[in-house]
Amino acid sequence: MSNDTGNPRPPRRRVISSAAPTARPRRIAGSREEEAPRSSGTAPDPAPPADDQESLGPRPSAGFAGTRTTLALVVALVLLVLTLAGEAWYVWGREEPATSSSRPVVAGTISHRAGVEAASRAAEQILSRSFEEYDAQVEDATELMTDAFAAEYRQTVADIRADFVKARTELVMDVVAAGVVRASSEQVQALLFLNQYVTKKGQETSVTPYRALVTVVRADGGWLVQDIETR
Amino acid sequence: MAAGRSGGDPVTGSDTGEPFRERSGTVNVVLYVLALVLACAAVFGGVLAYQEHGERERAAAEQERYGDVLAAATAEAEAFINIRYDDAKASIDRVAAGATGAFRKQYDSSTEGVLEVLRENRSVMDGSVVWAGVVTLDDDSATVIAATQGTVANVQTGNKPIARNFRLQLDLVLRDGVWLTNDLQFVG
Repeated sequence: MSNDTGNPRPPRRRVISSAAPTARPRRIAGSREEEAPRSSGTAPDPAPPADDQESLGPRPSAGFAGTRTTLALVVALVLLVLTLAGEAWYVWGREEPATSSSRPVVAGTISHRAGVEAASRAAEQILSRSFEEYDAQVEDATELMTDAFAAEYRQTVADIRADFVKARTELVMDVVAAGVVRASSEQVQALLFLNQYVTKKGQETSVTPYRALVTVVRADGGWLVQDIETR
Repeated sequence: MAAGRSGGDPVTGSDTGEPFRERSGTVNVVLYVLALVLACAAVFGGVLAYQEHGERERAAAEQERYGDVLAAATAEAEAFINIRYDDAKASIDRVAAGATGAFRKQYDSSTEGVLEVLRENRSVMDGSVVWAGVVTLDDDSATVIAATQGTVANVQTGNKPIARNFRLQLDLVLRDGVWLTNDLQFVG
């Protein structure tokens, strides 16, 4: 390599590099170019820099080596992670749309039908009462309600208890039709057509039609009545 | 490596270049494998997202169908309970516009008779739908119940409006993209 030995100087090998065909070899700490002592009057023939030697032939693991490859892989990884995050958000992260007049039912069929069915059964139990088991039925009914509605319900039935029992009243509420008005996965509003059968001591049974909007909310054990509005 | 080398000594390429290249190669292999795994996951995620997109479009169409059915049933029920003897023909036409099948025929065939009765009784019915709910729904038919409140005035009431609330059940069918009522009944 050096002409110190007196051998004729070999033709200088042309470094072929697609990255920097005409640039100086990159300086790397401790490269031979710096390490080799210079002879007076003659320029040493520098050894090809380490990077440039890649072009001369494959080396073990040389296919994946290099800062540029690392950078490209990191960029690809970042893009892939962002893509996965976007997909995950689209599949699992988006919230259920809110109910509106144009989309009143955003819950699945099974879910809202379960809510309507729960509202029907609860309304029949909550609104039916017998003078013989008044207090027990009231307690059982409150198990089907939210705490706030249960407190309101207890107050209402306490107010009418004396007259109800005194008249030996039997009140049966029967759902004759039910439909979903609004429904999300957490709340269902059901329209119920109810027939109220009232029997009092010494009187014929009377039938009164009602319409009720029953709101149920999802709870751990199923559905709880949050409100009953009758007209 | 340069272990044991004094700080001022130059580090030769044979000391760092090869290990650096090997480390770089190893790191890149790991990154490459990780990228492959993530790429596979991204493809799988893309399939899931595509399926989810289709499912949401179907759900949105069904959700809008509930809105369309309720709007059509509400309009027909309100047409049915807003009848005026002094504008009887227009009142009947509004009901007929949202009707089809047997229900429409009933109105078409008895229009003259209905108009006569309205005028004789000087009937005025006003009202609105308070609540409406879907009982059943499929792609082209639905059953809706509607609760209405309003008043009716005629010669029997001394032309004074009295409260009249109804419980209605409407059967609807989809005709040329429009929900029309083919049966309307009072729920007893």
